[in-house]
Amino acid sequence: MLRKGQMHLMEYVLLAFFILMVIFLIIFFLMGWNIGTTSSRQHALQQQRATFLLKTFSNSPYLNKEGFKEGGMLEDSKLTVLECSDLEELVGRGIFAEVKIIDSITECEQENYPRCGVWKFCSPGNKQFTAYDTPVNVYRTLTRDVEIGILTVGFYE
Amino acid sequence: MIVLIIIIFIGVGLFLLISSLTTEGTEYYNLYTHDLLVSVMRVKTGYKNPCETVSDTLYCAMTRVERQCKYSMDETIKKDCREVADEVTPEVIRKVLTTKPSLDYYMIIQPEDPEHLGGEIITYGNPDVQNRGKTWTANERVLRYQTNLQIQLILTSI
Amino acid sequence: MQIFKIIFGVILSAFILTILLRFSLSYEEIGESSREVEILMGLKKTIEDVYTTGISTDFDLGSEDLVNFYSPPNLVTSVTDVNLDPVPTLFVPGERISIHRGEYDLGWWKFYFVHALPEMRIIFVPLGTSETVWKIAENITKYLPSTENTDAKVRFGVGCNETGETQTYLFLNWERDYFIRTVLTYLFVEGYEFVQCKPIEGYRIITISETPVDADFQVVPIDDDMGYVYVRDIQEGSKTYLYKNPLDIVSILLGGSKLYDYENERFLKELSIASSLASRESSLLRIKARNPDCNIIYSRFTQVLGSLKSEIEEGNYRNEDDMKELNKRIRESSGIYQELEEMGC
Repeated sequence: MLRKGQMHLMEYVLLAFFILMVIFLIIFFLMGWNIGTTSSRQHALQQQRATFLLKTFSNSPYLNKEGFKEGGMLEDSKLTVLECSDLEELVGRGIFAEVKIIDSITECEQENYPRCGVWKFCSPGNKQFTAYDTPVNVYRTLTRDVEIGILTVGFYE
Repeated sequence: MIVLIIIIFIGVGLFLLISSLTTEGTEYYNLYTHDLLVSVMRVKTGYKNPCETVSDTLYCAMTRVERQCKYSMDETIKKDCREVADEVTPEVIRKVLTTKPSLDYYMIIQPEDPEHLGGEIITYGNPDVQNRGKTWTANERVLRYQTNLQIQLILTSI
Repeated sequence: MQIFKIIFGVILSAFILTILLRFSLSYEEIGESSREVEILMGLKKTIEDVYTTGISTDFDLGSEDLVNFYSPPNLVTSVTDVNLDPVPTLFVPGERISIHRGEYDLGWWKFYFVHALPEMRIIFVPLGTSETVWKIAENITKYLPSTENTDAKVRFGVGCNETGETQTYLFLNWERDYFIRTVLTYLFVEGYEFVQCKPIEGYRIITISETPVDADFQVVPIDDDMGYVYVRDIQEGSKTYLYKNPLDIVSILLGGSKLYDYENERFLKELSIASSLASRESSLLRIKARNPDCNIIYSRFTQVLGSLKSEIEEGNYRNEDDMKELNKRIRESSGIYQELEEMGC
């Protein structure tokens, strides 16, 4: 009788312990989930920042040809004279950008302009970076030609 | 009771698993698709009027079938608007998408008024793209006198 | 046995309830803060989108008290401060705001900025019939947003008329474009004259006159471009500001000295970068251009841009002579750019 009672009591205590364990585990899982959403939120914020930089560069009144309301028509003469320090002043440090006309390999300097089609600003070097790209048009100021290229913008820590 | 607890465990686990699966990059890919379409339309083809830009060429291809375009570098070379459109449009898109090998495309060009021009449409790329699960679409209107064109570009992950 | 079960059960239940209550309370606080942070992040993103695309939109902050005040470039809130850089923003707190992109166009460059404003009613009080006074009313209106495509409206009116003891003013659902095109033009051409308005609750009153009068917010022009703004504020006292363009007046109207300083610093910084870039581009094209007539114009353009940059670096935006010189250089640069366009350079 006593043993039966003790076993019954033990069952009761074990059940209570089990319920408590489940509650604590749920709390830990929720905390873990919060951390998970924070990290995916951070990734979303990074992507938001990258998209903003892409749109800012591609629609910038400093680089766009007048008359193209939608933006994305970058003038090659403006790209050739743009410097890393200008970009840093406008959008902040830790940013790099590249515009590359399809099939072009020659990097632009003032000396070889306009026989070139690659512009690079603020190279990240060996640092870890996040980069996104989008198609843009490049307007050739001297020949009035319009070519297609890829704009890549990224940021590093 | 134990069965109930096990069910709760599994339920919470599934919930956490599902919530961890996020759809990433929709805004970015929408931007990319829009920029690709706009950029392609504005590119100069290397031919003269009425095939100066890709959008001009497509318009001519849909409306003035008999017109011929002279090549800028050698005016003895003449092609129909449709020929120029077929030569340039998919080639430009293909070159851009070499930087994004995981993407495939389908482009549809049609007059805004479907009854105009016998309802003809021009398409480039892979038509299966329309039936894929996750796609990103951009639309542009080419405004002209005779009729406006509606151009749709659909991208998807391969 | 039963008693043991009851006691044990009560203790266990109390323990579980306490944990759950504590946990859910802290979650509720975090949840509430999270919700507010989400709204603020959404607002920042929307402002960035409007800045890059130029497409206006509304934004619902959910509460008038979410943003305590704007200390540019930061939105100061009880939860967190939100830095709106690098977007130059003219922000006025409110529950529901409309967000628009404005621009100051020099021809060879545009200064983009963003308005983020709640519902607003503005009354102009042009004293006298001089064209300068009425032109200023028009110019100020041009640098406020057109809210035709958004819900939070900015509306305009003109006043005041004295009818015995009461004052009346003209104010209907006039938004920017209609107000400039029709209302102001009609009133000026018809030679309407107005007297000073007493303060009207819910309206921002802008008095414009050729000589200073006793008003809370008054614009006194020196010439077509420049002048002084006199502000009488309960908190800030009486202040005088120099304006060199209508954007300065709008900044003072929307945010007082903080917004005026911020807008000037941003505008002049970006103008300096733009003039430097344009100058380098002009030098490059002068060497590479095929048309020799363009070379002379490019040279002049480079020279003027160099002077403009010097004016910005050495000048003070609160100094009348400095800003007169600056405006002169800006006008010159726009004129030469126009010549370049006409020559097809």
